[in-house]
Amino acid sequence: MGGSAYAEPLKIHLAIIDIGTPYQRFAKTFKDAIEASDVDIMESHGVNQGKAGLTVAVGMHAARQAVLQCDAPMLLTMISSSEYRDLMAKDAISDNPCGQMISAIYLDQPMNRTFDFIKKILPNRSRVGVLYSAEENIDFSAMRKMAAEKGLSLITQRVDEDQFYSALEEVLSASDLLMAMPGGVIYNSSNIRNILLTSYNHSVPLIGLSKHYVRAGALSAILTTPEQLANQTAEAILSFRHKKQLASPQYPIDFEIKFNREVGRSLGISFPSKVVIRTHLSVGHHK
Amino acid sequence: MKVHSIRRQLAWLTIPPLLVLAVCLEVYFLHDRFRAMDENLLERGKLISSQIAVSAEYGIFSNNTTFLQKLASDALQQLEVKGVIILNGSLGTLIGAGEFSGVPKKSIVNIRETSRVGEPLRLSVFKGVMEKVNSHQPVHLDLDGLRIFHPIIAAQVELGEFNAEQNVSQVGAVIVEMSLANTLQVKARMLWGTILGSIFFLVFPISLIYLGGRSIVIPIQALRDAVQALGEGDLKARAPTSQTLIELVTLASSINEMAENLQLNRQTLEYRADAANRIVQVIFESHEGMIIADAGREILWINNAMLAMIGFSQDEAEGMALHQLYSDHNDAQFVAEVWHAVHEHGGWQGEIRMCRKDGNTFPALLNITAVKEANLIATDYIVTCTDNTQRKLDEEEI
Repeated sequence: MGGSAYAEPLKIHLAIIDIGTPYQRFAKTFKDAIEASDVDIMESHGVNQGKAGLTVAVGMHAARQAVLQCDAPMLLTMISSSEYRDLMAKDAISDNPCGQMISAIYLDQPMNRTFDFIKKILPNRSRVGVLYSAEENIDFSAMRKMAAEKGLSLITQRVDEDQFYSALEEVLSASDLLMAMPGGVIYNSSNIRNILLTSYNHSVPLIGLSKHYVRAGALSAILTTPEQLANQTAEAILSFRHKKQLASPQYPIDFEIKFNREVGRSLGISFPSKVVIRTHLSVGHHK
Repeated sequence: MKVHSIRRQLAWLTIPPLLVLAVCLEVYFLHDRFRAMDENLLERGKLISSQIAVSAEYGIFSNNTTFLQKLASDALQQLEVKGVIILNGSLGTLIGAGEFSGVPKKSIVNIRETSRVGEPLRLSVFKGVMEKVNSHQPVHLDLDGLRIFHPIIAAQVELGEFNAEQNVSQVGAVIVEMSLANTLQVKARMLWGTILGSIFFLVFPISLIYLGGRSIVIPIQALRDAVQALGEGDLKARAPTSQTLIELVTLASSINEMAENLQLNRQTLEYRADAANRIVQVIFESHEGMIIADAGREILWINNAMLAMIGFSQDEAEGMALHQLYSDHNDAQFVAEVWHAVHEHGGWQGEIRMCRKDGNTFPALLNITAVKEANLIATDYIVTCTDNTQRKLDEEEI
């Protein structure tokens, strides 16, 4: 065992501020996965009180708090890639030497996997509509390039305050499908119903980010569950135990696919087998 | 003490409590019903505004004023809905339909006609309405109508297990004005119905009381008439016993029994009086003088023989004091002894000198008997007198 390199077991601080069910599911799976290894877990709902060899911050709230007092290598998880980039872009973090000790396992899917997924379930629809807000930091040039490689074109539309509907109308009228982006500014619990209603009026399906999107009326979603993220996080910690350093930020390896067959039927879309789709989707690490 | 008839007394005892009871019940019933109607109107208004709020969410999201106008017009078809205003998220007026108190209908129509489709109406005319109801004061009721403010909150759909933050925001608002006319009409109808019902409620028992009173009063009046007739001396009068009330039957029977007894006693008395009159007549015609005097010794009655003896007429004699008939020849002490003996022994018999009207005196044998009560006090005196002159002369001749 690589654990012999350490005189003492690795102490990790598991910081979870949010108390929702997914975080509990993550914590349970994570503890189960790490149980047999030579790792001690100090779980807290806030600031780390003791000295730890590694801090694992679960969720955006924990991540925001953890980076302010980083005194150990830090692995952020259950945050989106854009949230991570926003966090790292802040001056306080980028100037801090501990920024070098931070890594992440994203919650959202890598773009090429999402594009592959779109291509697989909607082979006849190539114009991908994307709504974004001025507050969001999205690298559209890379996205466009990636989309073009998959034979897709990206229709982006910025949403200004009080102009939501006109922006939505505009992007829907120019797109074959609407792709939800993580963040919560554009897509939230208050306006998802209206977005879905408008997209139906244009016969444009929405590709969601979670099973809740699918349940609300999105055509499909590709997602990673808290259990899958927890297992990936546990593996990353064991790797850190051996290599003494964190790997680069990575997207989730494992994922699930959800369909709303009622929506598919009403839009005249038939889904291929999930097994077939999975074999064609990219699996791996993407920075 | 003020005297009332039985009928008036009955009316005083029954009508005021009935009236108070009826008015109290009316007030309670009407107050309760009116409150329930007001609450019902408020609930209907809330329900309608809530339905509009739910339906208008997408119209506000898509800024579809045509749809919202249709929604408001449909709401106006509902009974009692007078006007509808739909506001956007910044509480600017999107549409207004119907009528609002304080806002001339013409001004709403004019503004709507000059506004372009899809543009929020700049209806400053609604400013007054929005000042009355808002999120801080969602219900406003005055004589013009009931206004209800209902915020439009976007329907929440849970999104993502990791997106725990809820973005609950107000996307707009609905103001519904409910007309009070129908409620007031129903209230007025109910008020009159209750008043008429109460009048019937009062008239019916009052009639019963009147009729019931008659069944008591009329027999009592018959009893009163019978007692009055008896009091006036008509002892043949009888109280009717054909009553339905046992107490009155008993009373009538008792009165009749009393009347019969009185009649019997009267007959006995009349018989005795006749007998006494006959005796008196005999005494009156007797040759022996007789006087009846009262306790003060004044002559109450005197017979003809006595009048002949003393020479006074009956009118003159009646009311005279007995001592006026004594002659001055009698010793005063002797007279005192006579009356002392009468008081002590109940009577005196002896000779005394009497005086005639013309001043002549004559010896008379007097028999004075005191009529005493149980307490031995004399109430009357009976005096018999015999002129003893002849006997004296005869004795002298002998």
